[in-house]
Amino acid sequence: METRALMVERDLTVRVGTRTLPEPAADEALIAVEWAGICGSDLHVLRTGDWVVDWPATLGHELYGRVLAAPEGSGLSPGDAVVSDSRLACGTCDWCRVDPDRCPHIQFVGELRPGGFASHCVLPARILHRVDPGVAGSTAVLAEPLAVALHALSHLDHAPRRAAILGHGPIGALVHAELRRRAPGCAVDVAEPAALRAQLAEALGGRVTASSAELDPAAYDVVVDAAGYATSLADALALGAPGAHVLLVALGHAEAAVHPAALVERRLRVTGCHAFVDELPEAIRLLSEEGWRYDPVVTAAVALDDLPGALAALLDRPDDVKVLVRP
Amino acid sequence: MSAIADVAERRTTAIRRYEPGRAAASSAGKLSSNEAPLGPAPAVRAAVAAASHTVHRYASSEPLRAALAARLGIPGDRVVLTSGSDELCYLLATLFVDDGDRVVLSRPCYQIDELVTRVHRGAPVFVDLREDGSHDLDAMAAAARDAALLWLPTPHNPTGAAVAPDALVRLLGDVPERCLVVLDEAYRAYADPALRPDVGGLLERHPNLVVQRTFSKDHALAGLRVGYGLAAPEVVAALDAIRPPFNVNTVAVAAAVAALDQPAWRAYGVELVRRERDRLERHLAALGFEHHASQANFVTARIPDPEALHARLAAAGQAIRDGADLGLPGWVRISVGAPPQMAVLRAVLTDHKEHLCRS
Repeated sequence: METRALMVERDLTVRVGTRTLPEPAADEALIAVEWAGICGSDLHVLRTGDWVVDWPATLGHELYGRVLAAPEGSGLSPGDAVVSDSRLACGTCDWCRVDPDRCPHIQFVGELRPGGFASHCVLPARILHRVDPGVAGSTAVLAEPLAVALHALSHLDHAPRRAAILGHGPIGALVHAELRRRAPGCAVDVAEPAALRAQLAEALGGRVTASSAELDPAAYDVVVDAAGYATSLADALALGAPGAHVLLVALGHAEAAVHPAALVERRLRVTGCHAFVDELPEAIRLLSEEGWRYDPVVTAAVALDDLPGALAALLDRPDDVKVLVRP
Repeated sequence: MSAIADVAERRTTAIRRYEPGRAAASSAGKLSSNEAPLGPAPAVRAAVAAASHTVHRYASSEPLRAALAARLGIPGDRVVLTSGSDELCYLLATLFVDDGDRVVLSRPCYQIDELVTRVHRGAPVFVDLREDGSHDLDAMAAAARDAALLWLPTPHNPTGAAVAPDALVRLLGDVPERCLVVLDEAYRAYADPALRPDVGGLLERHPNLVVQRTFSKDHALAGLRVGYGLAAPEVVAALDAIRPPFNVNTVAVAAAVAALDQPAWRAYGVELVRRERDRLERHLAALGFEHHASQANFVTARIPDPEALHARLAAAGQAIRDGADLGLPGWVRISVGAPPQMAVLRAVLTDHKEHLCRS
């Protein structure tokens, strides 16, 4: 079938046009997309072309929609409200036989195959999760990025007393909102230069500075790098108190200088938190029960035809937090 | 008809009952009552839950009066608390409007202002709004020369137009001291800062001024009914003397006190509304729909075939306010909701425009 979709060409030009979707295979479902979310990794693709297998790319791995057709025995029926997992393990490697979450060849919806910046998409039924139809789609679509935030915080073995968050984009903001739920008494400091993102951080109860240099060195028992700028790893490590846990969520791409003795002497634990493992159902539950905690991260919503302009604005001067797309 | 029924009918025959905004298929899609899309801050929700443990006791509203006085920098004896700001309208009319008293209102006016005027058998004197939806202050001041009361919402509901502070100062100078001026600032937070008057100074200079505020809009507590008035101590004392005891309930007091302690949450919610209001106004302009430039959390627009628009919105799970309810037939008033709801609304407006062009 044909669908209206965002298309990113190999030269990284972007347009909205019509593309032909393959007929769903025996294990696949056809989805009418109602909401999709723009992720920082979508912006990385637009800058670099990294990770894309299927050109032109229709990005969008955070999506909510309605099932139009699903394989028998999949547990899905036409009309079901669903959100999608974003991950596509290769299914053939040794890791996939024992633990697909650790597949080294894992790829993502929108890069390996057309994603949610389209009126329709075809996805494996196994990665679709049903959602209570009473939950607003614009809330449920936050399940994937919230799962990322939940996964990052799952590495903590205690409720933090003082946390620092570098970067208050979608993931930093969702980490912040979730920290407020889990540890209401935790003091949260945020380094974020963009005005609207900083204003959200203050609304959630954070103390905000424009840069991490203004935060207190070696003072935080949890530091979350959700920024990924050139020196953010070094900055995050400098903020950790003795015994602190430093969670790396952002996909930084610059070589980073690390002083090993500093890690040893302050007993810092550094954890890379890629995507998530089994947190998507928990994210769906939280959004259905307490969606109001997370809704404030959505600062703009655009029609599919306006998506190229919205992407250009985010690439040029990010200020919005989570931008949703209404295909 | 019984004698009592006859009295009841006679006392209400000139009164148009207040009709609330239409319901929508979902809470988020209700864009008909100028409510706050984000809702209250987490700390306010926690305060509501905690207050539920003491609802077997009568309420004390003094903590809220003290918190407001401290937050606003205004003495506590200038603050009166009411069950929603609408209750203040009733109390003011009870105190200041007698049979046949002239009461000045813009046309169209805020419905409750007219309703309480008629309940107290005042004589409404209507002054038409200007073309841009703003108050005609010169005409209102002229009409107020022998009036008991002048209702002045700014930003105005249903147009969203705001009175400039210097124009307000002139109006207060022109209105006789025996005429009460009620400055309804329900939507103050959404206005440009330059359009927010220094009410503390005005209250000092004008003992006939009452400033009316609410926790229903930017503080996101519409369902709890909390409002307040700022006025001369003698006026506040009189209002306190006639208001129902315990008129602001325990949960409402706790929520409002907590909300005052969350200025950053409130500011963020206002900022999102202002951004979405700007997007909506640009979209209306692009589609060629006339609208009033709004300083409030709604936009009022003249859109052909509003019934068809209501039907299209209902199909998308949304509801807006029909202008006929508000004295503006042929217009609609669109409350500014959360970004996703506004994206849906803009798409419906585009679809409506395309249908109008084809028909």
